[in-house]
Amino acid sequence: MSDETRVSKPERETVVPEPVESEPTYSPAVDIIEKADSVAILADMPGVSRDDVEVVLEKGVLSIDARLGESRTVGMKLQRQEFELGSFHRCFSVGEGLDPEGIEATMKDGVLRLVIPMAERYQPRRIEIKGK
Amino acid sequence: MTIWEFETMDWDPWRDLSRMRRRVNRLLGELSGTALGGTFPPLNVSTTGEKAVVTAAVPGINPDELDISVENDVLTIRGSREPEKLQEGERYRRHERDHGPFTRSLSLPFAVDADRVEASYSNGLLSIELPRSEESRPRRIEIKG
Repeated sequence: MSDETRVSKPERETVVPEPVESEPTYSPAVDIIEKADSVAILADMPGVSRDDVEVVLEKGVLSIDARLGESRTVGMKLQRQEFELGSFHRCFSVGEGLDPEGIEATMKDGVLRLVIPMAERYQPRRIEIKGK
Repeated sequence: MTIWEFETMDWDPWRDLSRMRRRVNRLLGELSGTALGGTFPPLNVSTTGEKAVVTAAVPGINPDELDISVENDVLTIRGSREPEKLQEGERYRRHERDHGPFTRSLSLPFAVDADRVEASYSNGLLSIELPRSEESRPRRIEIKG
C-alpha cells in the first residue's frame, strides 16, 4: 500500500492561532491497528463516558473530543497526583484508501474504539482464474 | 499508510518526551519482570481525617481480574492489562497504550479498616474508598484534676 496516499495538508492561512482551551486538555494514548479490511484506532480516555465523547469527521480530518465530569474527590485534600482529569483531544487525517462513511465508534471502560473500513476498491479480493 | 496523525496545530514536545519515558519504563520493566515498571496505573490519592480515596486510571480492563488488598496502612493493587489480540496479517501502526501485568503499592497516612474498604470501576477509573481504622484515629485525652 505504498502507492496510494500522499500527505497533503489542508490549505490554511499563513498564521493560525493555536487554541488554548478553557480547561486542561490532554492527548490520549492511542493504538492504531491495521487489519485486512479496516483500520482500528483505540484511545485511552479514563473517566470519559459514552455521552461525553464526540467524534467528528470534517474535510478528511477525524477529531476526537471528550469532556470530563467533575471529580468525586472535590473537597478532599489531594495528597498525591500522578494523573489529571481534564478534556481529551486528538485528530487524525483519514487517507483516501479508507471509507470515512463507514466509521463505527464504540466506547467501553474508558477506551474509545473507532473502526474505519477500507474503501471497497482497496480491499483485498480473490481473483477467480477462468478457464478449465 | 492510510491514516496518520494530524499535527499541524498541536505539536507538543512534552507529549513526545512522556511517550519516550513510557517506552523506556516498559523496556526496563520487561527486564526486571514487572512489565509496566511500577508507573502504571497512575494513582491519585485524596484524604480527609476520616478516609482516603485512591483513584487509578486503568481503562479497558476487566475489574473482576483486579486484586486489591489492604493490610494496616498498605494498599496493593495488582492486575493486568491485556494487549489487543492481533489476527494474522494485522499489525500495529502505532502502539502507545501500556499493557502487561502491573503492581502498585501505597503506604497511606493512616491504618485502614480493611472490612469497610469499597472499590468501584467506572469508565476506566478505579476508585477505592478506605475508611480510617478506629484505633488509628487521634483521641483527645482529658486532663484530670
